[in-house]
Amino acid sequence: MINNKKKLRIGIVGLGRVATATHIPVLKLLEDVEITACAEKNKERIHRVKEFLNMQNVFDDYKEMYKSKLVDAVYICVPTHIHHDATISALQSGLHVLCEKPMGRTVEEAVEMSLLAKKNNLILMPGFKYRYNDNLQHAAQIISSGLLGNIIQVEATFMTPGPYISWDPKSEWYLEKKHGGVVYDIGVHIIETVNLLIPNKINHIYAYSSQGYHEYDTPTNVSCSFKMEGGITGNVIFGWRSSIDFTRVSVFGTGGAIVVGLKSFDYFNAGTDPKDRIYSHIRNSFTEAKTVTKRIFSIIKGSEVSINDLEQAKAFVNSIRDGSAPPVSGENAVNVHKVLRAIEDSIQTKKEITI
Amino acid sequence: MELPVVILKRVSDIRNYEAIQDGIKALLDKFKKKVTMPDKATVIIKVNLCMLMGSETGATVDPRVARAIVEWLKSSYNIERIIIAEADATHLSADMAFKALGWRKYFREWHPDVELLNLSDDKRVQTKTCFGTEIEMSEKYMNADIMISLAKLKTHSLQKMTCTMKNLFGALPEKYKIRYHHRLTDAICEFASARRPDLSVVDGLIGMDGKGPINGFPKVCRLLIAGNDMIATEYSCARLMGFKPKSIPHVAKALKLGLGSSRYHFEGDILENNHLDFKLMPLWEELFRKLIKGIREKKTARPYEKTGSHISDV
Repeated sequence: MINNKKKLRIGIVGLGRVATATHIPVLKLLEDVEITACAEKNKERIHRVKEFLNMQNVFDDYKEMYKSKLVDAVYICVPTHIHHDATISALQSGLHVLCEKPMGRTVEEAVEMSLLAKKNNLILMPGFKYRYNDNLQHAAQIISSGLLGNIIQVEATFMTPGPYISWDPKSEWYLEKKHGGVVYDIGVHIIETVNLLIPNKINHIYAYSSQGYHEYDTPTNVSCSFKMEGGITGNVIFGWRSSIDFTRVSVFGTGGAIVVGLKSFDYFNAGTDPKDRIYSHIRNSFTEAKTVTKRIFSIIKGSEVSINDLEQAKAFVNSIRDGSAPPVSGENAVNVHKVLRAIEDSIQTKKEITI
Repeated sequence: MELPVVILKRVSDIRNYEAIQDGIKALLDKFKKKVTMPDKATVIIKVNLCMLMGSETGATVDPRVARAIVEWLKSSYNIERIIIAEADATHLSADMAFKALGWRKYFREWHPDVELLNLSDDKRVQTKTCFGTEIEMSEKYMNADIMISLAKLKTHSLQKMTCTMKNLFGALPEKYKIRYHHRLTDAICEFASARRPDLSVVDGLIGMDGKGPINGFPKVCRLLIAGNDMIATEYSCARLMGFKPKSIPHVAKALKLGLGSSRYHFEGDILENNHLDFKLMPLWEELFRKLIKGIREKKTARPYEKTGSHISDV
């Protein structure tokens, strides 16, 4: 636990797009936090960020930063294949870690990270930012309260234009197979969202994929059918190359149904009549308007941050301060990894995989 | 003085390569006598591949059009070297675009002798612009005997339309071109003037309208356009899209700067004033975006998005 009077000192590992455009602006909004050091290999980025952040403690090796005693916790914002080493070293140095998704590249890496955090009594939180979305939280509460009766089927979709269209990473690694492509970029989010809404474990999965970028053998679009504990069946589709960002999960129960997205929420049951639908539309319009207004105000205030990222940072800091369990843990990431590996295996073997 | 020429051809079946090839041949044959091609020439074709989006979305040039131009060049002249070129864009490396969008594979299969060049990786040479400023451009781009611009017919949220001149802006080897977007009109004229194309070809098979150049809707037009003067080609394309050419900021500015002619001879399968009715972003949305963009740039711009040093105040 960190002394509540002292500011929590955070170090950033990797100064690419996700750090400079997302996490650093978010952390700068938190009063009880200060970014005291960064680690980055790229000299040009170091120069830019030193100027931009007025940051003097920039290390070219994250292990040196860990040893420096300048930080209490770190954000891991490097490419996927470095997540494991950067996180394990941080945990060995007694630092709390928020690791960008996916938490490592394999189940084994995620398990090792999770066990070490537990052993050293440190917070390890995977960067599953959609977990903090109001609509998804609301849906999870309704489902766990039993209002939908027994859950029977699920359908989940997460489509994006892809990393080089909706935002601009600085290198090609997203398209390299060793980083897992869309399965570990987008699949990780939608599987985590399904896990958030329905805690039953996915135990059978069959997946198809397509490769939309010539000369890159990483899958860009995936469709899967799965079965969960308790007999719930479902479909998940996710991918890049869509012209829009689109997230939606439909959960059907014996007592009602929910169709939820990042900006919309609809709850139906047998008694739902047109009045309720109108109310639902109005509520969704308000939610959208609230999101847009919040965004405009944050731009005017000079800090364009996403609410999900802000809530994630608050949750991480609070867990460190009061020693409570984080809303999402290393074990959650391990469960997600098991499903992701099964998706990869099913694509490769063209067979159903039992987890 | 002979007026520049702009020619338009309609392609009957855009799924069929032979139809595209016939269209390009019919179009470019008209320029055979107008383009002075040296013997054993090096020709560079600057294409527009600004995003990892296929030509079917209207965002990028169709590789089949480039192939048809290559085949026309080979059959019409004694060409020594053909280079297809693009520079890194803010969001994308040109090498990745050539690979991921299938250009490399396609040309390996059909014309392995054609070189795909990332202008950002080429040796750079100093050159003067229309504003008298000195900028660095790719050596191969500047020194090629003939330069052909192969652009896409699209709307643009800031400039109304993007075509030949904006494609030439994309030849700047610098990656973070977004830093010039707050003075895009000047920047387009400045960088397009570094080397004016000998031939401007526009892929209007599938264009883009609405929130172009990347977030709009594909618009099937089935057109190929070519001109031997970049301003004349821009003028003609603006008219086809349904815009007044002088309402396009960079076209009006380029005309003032004398970068080309607004008087030209038009020849086409359809009339130039037979507007294709390209729709722009609604005015309220455009104004709102501009307001938010202005605030964003002031308050949250990252270091690499700050103003470039090449843009003159002229």
